[in-house]
Amino acid sequence: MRPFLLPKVRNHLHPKSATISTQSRPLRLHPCLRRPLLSSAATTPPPVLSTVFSLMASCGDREYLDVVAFMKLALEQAKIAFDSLEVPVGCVIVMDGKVISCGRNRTNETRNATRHAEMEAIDVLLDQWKKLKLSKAEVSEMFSKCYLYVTCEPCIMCAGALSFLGIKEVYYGCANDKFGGCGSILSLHTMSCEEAGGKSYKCTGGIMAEEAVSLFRNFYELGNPNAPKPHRQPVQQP
Amino acid sequence: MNNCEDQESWEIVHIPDKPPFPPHQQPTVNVYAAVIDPKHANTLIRKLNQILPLENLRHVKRVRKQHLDEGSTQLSVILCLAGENNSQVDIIPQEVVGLIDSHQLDTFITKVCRYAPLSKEEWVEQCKLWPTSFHPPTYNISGITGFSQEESQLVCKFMKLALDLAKSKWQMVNAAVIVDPSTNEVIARTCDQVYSCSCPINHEVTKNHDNMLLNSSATEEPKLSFDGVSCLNPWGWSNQKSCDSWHPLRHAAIVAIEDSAARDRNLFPGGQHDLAEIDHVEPALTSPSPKKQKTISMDVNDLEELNSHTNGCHPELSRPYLCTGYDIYLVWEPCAMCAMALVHQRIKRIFYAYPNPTAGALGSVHRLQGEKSLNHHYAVFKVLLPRESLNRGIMSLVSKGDHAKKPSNMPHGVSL
Repeated sequence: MRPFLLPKVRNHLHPKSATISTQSRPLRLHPCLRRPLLSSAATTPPPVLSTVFSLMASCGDREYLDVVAFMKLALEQAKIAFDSLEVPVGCVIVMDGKVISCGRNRTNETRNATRHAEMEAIDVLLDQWKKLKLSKAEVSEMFSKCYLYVTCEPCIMCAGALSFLGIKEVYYGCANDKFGGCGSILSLHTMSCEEAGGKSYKCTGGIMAEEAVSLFRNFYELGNPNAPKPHRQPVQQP
Repeated sequence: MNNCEDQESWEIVHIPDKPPFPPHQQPTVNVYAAVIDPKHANTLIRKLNQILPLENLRHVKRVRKQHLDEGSTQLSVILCLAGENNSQVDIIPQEVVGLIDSHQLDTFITKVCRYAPLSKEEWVEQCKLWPTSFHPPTYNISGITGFSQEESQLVCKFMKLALDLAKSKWQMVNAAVIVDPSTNEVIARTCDQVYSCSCPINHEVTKNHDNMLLNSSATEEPKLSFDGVSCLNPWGWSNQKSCDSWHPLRHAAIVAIEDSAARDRNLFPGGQHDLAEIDHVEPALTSPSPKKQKTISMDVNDLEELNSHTNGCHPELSRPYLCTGYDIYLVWEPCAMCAMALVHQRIKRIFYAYPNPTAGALGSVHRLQGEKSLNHHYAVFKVLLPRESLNRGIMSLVSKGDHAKKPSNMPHGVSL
């Protein structure tokens, strides 16, 4: 297992979430993990870090526990993906304190690599709202009240989609060092074109990141059974 | 109707991984470096490469050898990246500080070029700052070093197909055509379905549409609106009028990927996803070394070959691995969502006709083809259309005879 995700995760950890999830064993830091401090990640500001602290400042313990509770539901979705031999990412969408949609990665099943958890959950909502005959303006209004909880930082595609929809806020688990669109590679949550009607959304990472990473770790340690052979040999199950 | 005998007037321009800069004005980054004793050079370099490989600066040589006046030489080594102002001593990693202390190195800040050189000219300029390595393209798999006449004709033909799709709607939209260049088969052809899900797939553009558009552009300033082009205006979906069926994220490229996936499932049913190594964050956990990527792609090719022999349903077809090896033709440069979707789906080449200054992710606003951390990279080309095609309905041409090809009446400050 390559602990590439760990440092960012650690950087972004909310002090409270650290007590919840990650103190059981020390995080091993590979030396090259220091790079995020130096490379482009340092110049593109730690949006996550700052928002973590603003989260800390802006909400009380109970709200933070709510965030954790919703992330646990997202992790359950990720586990469903895992059990379906999909890359384990899951999410829930919350409005007015209630979960109104959920989704998990479905890329292998559909052979469509864009069917990420976020896209699945968004489509569930659009279907619901269209059945209710909501107008586009009403749907747009609804999205602006939605909170997304996703186990891994949205990729560039999903981060763009969330910006187009005008989502209110995103909480994620671990950072996505290779594809992340909410601070890691691009910052689409803050870079929308305002003249064209784009709004930015608040994004907070590091929520139960260790759990999200450990799901990935389990998935890839088993060897992705769907990977082109012999990507990494699956461990033979007894 | 799509004659391509005039293809000389088409131009296919490669959009490189990095923005074009004059050779002597290339962007740089600051690094900490130090003069070292040649006796310790090997040890130091080995240690540095181990604790701090310069991942995003692979083209930059770690060591610089300078010839001094007295005939002696001096070796300097890059320690780590430095901030853009000079008060960042605290960000030198601990291990590097250890090396600096143990070897009593005097550090200094210097500039190195940020992007790998694309030409010998650039390389020569780069080496004046700090030596880099230059690998001229030795292959032409993607057409980066040019297209044959036959290839250009095909590019022109498929782009015209996309243009016809785009203008056949009640308002201007984006359109996408996915093609397997090994057989020239059209895998999918779609339009934006943000405002309406009825796309004129599989039928030719009607004469009326052609005439209507032709007349409007021939007689007066075209009153075409580009608000309906979803990648140009991705945030504006809720303000546009539309039919009953609409979807804010069904941009043409997304729909095309969906169609190609559906085609895959139809042609090759069966649960064994031999080739479906589909990523979400996976490469974050796998080795980023180019060597490894090469191995994977070779495996994919091997398997595709294998499948073509063993697949019972369609022995003449090989099961695609997502859109590996396929090209996509888009009328407008895609937004970040679509461009990343095409990375995920492993498209090989993207051709687009018009840039997208509000949200384009292939050079206009972002440049995904140059994001080294992504696990797949496609080649991107802009197809400059000839006057004839423009007059056939897309927009009128202001300049004649040159390559500016600037149409009038573009909203949102669109300049082509």
